Amino acid sequence: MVVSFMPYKRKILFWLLQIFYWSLYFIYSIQFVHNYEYYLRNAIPSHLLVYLFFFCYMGIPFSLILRFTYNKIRARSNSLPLLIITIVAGSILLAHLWFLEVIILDNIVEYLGHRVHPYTWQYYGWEIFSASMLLVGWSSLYLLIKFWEEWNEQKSISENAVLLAENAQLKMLRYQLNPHFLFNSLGSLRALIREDQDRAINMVTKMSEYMRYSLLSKSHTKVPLDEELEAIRNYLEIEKVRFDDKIEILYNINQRARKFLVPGFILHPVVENALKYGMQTSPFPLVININVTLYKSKLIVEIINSGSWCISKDNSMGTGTGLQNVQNRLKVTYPKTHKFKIDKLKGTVRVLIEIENDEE
Amino acid sequence: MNDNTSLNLLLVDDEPLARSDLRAVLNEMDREFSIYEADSVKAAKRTLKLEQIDIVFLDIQMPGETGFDLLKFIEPPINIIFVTAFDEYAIKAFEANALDYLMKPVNIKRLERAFHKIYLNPAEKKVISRKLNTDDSIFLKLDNEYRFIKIDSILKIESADDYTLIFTNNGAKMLTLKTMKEWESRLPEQMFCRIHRSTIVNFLNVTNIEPYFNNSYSVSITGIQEPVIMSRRYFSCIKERMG
Repeated sequence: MVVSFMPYKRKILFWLLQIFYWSLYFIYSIQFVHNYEYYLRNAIPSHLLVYLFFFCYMGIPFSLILRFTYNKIRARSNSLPLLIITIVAGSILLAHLWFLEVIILDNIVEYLGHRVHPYTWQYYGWEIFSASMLLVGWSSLYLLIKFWEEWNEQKSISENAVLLAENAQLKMLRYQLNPHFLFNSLGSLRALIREDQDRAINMVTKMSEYMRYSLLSKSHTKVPLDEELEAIRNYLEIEKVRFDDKIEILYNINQRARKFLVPGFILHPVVENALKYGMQTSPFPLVININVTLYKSKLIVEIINSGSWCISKDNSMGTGTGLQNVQNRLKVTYPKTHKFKIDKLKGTVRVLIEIENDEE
Repeated sequence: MNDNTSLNLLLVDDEPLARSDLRAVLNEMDREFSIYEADSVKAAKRTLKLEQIDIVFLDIQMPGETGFDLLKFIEPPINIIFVTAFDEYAIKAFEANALDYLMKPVNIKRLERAFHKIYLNPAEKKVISRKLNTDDSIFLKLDNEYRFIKIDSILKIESADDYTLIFTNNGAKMLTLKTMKEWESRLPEQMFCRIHRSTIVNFLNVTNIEPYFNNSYSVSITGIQEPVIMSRRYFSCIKERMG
């Protein structure tokens, strides 16, 4: 869930850690306060503390500059060496600026009446070193927390992706099972048992065969076209029982194409679509043509229905997702050797699928 | 209506076998009916004009003319019972005349229960309106037309005098006769939350909450341009639910 108390909370956390880090430095420095007596002559201890306080917390603006720089760099490149160079160079550079600020601070102190001891190279070296280390330490902590956060986020994203993939698989299974079709058929079957037992028996046979194909065929393995067509035939026969004389199916299938291997359930959704939208848009009877030919090593399938192309308003099961699913699977299975085309003509809709198997 | 009068039923389904199956189940019941059949919305309209129909059994997935066209002609006291084979979203009645939702092939016990509701008086009918689930659809009258709305497609509900305006994730904005109180009592708590006297939001779509004037908060929702205002007294409620 996207909850957005987060940025607010993170800001507070950042500043808490910020205060904590610099206070730690301040408290740590207090034990060396007497060293400063050497530099600030005739200063009383409380004045020294004030001096030290300013001295330490002056690091905060520099840390903010570093943060800004890291975010800018990391937005552009992921290079770790570049980041490390930036940490070291940035920290040394800012340590100098810090030293400059110390000089200004000292001048103010001098103006207030304390005498500042002249700087020595040793003092300079020590100040630059300690300030640099402090900023490198800050940078490391900041980036570690940042990396840890991102790693966590990445983890939840990839977990989500797995979930999505599983969901898609489940949807495909549900689609193959076709609950809408199943329950409608069972309803018709119950009526037939009362009215016409011979037809009921026939329907049970067809339903069993269709269901077996739906449940057992795996969408990622290939089956002979014959099997796919048989399932389509069973499916349409059942629909014909339901809709009586409102549907007419014409098959035109080249014998040589029957052994051609296709991914299971690749044509079925197209036929289902033709029936569903044909029923909504075609005058009765709805006519569905299924033409299959083989040209050299290329399988050409045409599924034509009377009626017109329509985009359904409800987005429940199966609408449009069927064709989308076929298209996606063709793309995956035959990246370069397939063709999928929808012709929206006047009074008819034609879906054309061409497949070429590599080595079969 | 009382138990003794014979009811006039109209079965609307384009599949002859589906109608005959439902008719058979109705006949198995221990009640007196006159059953009319219609294989299209057009035929159903004709029957509704000519006969005094009490209950319409409507297959909502009928191809051709949509069942919605027929809904305009079915006003109380005519009751609707939806019949469908399968739907991912269970349809819940939200209107007094939408009685029930049956699955094909229809179970006689379920059918008995649906009839039982008809004999309840209107006041009692309201009481049985239970809490909705997040994956339900509701059937209700919007802008004077009946519609099915998926619960999880609702982003925001705003009061407008005696009515309420509902905003859905496809950008639609519709007026309903329901009151804020009715919405609040029926919408699922794991998805909806009242954030103002005149606003209920789907908090799963809330992207940002920021402090605003006078101790109030400004709430951004995906799919809705203007942020909505949340009063302070509702803040703890939304925070608690969003974790």
